[in-house]
Amino acid sequence: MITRVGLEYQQRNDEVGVVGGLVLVYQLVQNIPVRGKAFLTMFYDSTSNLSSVEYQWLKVRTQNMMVSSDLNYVMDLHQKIFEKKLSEISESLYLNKMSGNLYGAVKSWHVIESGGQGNILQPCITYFGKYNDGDVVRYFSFDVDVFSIDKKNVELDICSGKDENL
Amino acid sequence: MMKKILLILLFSVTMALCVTQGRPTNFSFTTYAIGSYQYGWQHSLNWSTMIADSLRRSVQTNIAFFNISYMRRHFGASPTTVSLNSFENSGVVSNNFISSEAANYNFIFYYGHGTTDTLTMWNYSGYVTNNHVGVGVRDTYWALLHACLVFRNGHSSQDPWFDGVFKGAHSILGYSSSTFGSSHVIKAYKNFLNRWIVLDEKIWNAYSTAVVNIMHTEGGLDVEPKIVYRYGHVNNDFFDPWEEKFANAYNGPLFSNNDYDGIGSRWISLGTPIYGD
Repeated sequence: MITRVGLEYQQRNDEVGVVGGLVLVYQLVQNIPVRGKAFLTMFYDSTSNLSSVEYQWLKVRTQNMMVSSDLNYVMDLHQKIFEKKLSEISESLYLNKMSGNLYGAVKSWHVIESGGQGNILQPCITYFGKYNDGDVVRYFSFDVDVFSIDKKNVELDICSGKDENL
Repeated sequence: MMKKILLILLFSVTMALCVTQGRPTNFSFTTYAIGSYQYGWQHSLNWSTMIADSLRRSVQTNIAFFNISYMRRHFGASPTTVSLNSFENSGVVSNNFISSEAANYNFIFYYGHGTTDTLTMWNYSGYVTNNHVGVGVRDTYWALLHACLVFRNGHSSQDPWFDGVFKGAHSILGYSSSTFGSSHVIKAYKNFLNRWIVLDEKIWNAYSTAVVNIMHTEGGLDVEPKIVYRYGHVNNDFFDPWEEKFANAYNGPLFSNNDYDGIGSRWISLGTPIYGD
């Protein structure tokens, strides 16, 4: 799923021009985007030719796991982490005399690297918002786990690499 | 005979004026990190010293890998050596930032609060700005300034840095936006060092890719990575410093005598995110 498109600019003395671009793609697992080490980035030069690709893509296998059945506990923990992360974002904005707001949330996976047990896809919510940086609107996002309340999880392997000069 | 001597003299002078190109044989890297400011005149930064410590270790590791690869290809060559230094909190003052000793550090990493054309120092109301008088031409070729808004598009003036504080520097990495405020930035900077030193990427590609990747995978505030530099001719060849590679770097100060063609910068700006549901 294409999530972002970016442009690379160059300024020479007083002249500004676009010299490249990039497209960021998230991997989908069960039609839900994966946050963390699962992405594909395509870089383009000023003539729109693909110049390089970076990727980390996951092989996924579904596996049942033990989960908490205490929904109140899960919701309470989620709320606390949400407030902490929002507070960190707010402080960063406040320090730079900026302000912003949340405007959306989606279900997502969060990759947890758990050493010998393999990597785990943790269900989470990705919250996203925007803030004003002078006359420019910028964005922010953060993930808060939902602690496996849907009783399914997946184990995965990571393959990654980089191809240049395609 | 006289003609020969003159030719030899001319050749020697020309060679002396040339800046050698190749891997740095001694790479000196210094960090300036402020966690808490004097009298709390700026807000504390939780991760600064930890990130600086981790980066210095990363430099050592990456140079070790670089040496293995280099010496395999150049049998008998001596390895690149590393000199590391650090300043923390009360050590991050302008006297340590702009000094004859600091002038010898090839790469400077700064972590603290910034604003347009300005870096904060630890001491109360201490600043280093783009028009600060420096110590003359220095052997600091690169700097990475982890500070908000220093190179803000449309508001900042980058050229004075290269006449004052960073006279002779090839390029300076930083941000035109605010910066990350969390610990995961260390992953981006370690990845940058690995790309530039070991994987032989151009300095701007290494930096911008590492920063964009961490934004994409870890979230947080959007940032705009930026590189600023002077460009021109070195040893009669055109040189754009955003393309400089560690293994083929110019080992000397550049463009410090109005001998440059212009000022340049590059930055990456991301559009509206689309996540879907």
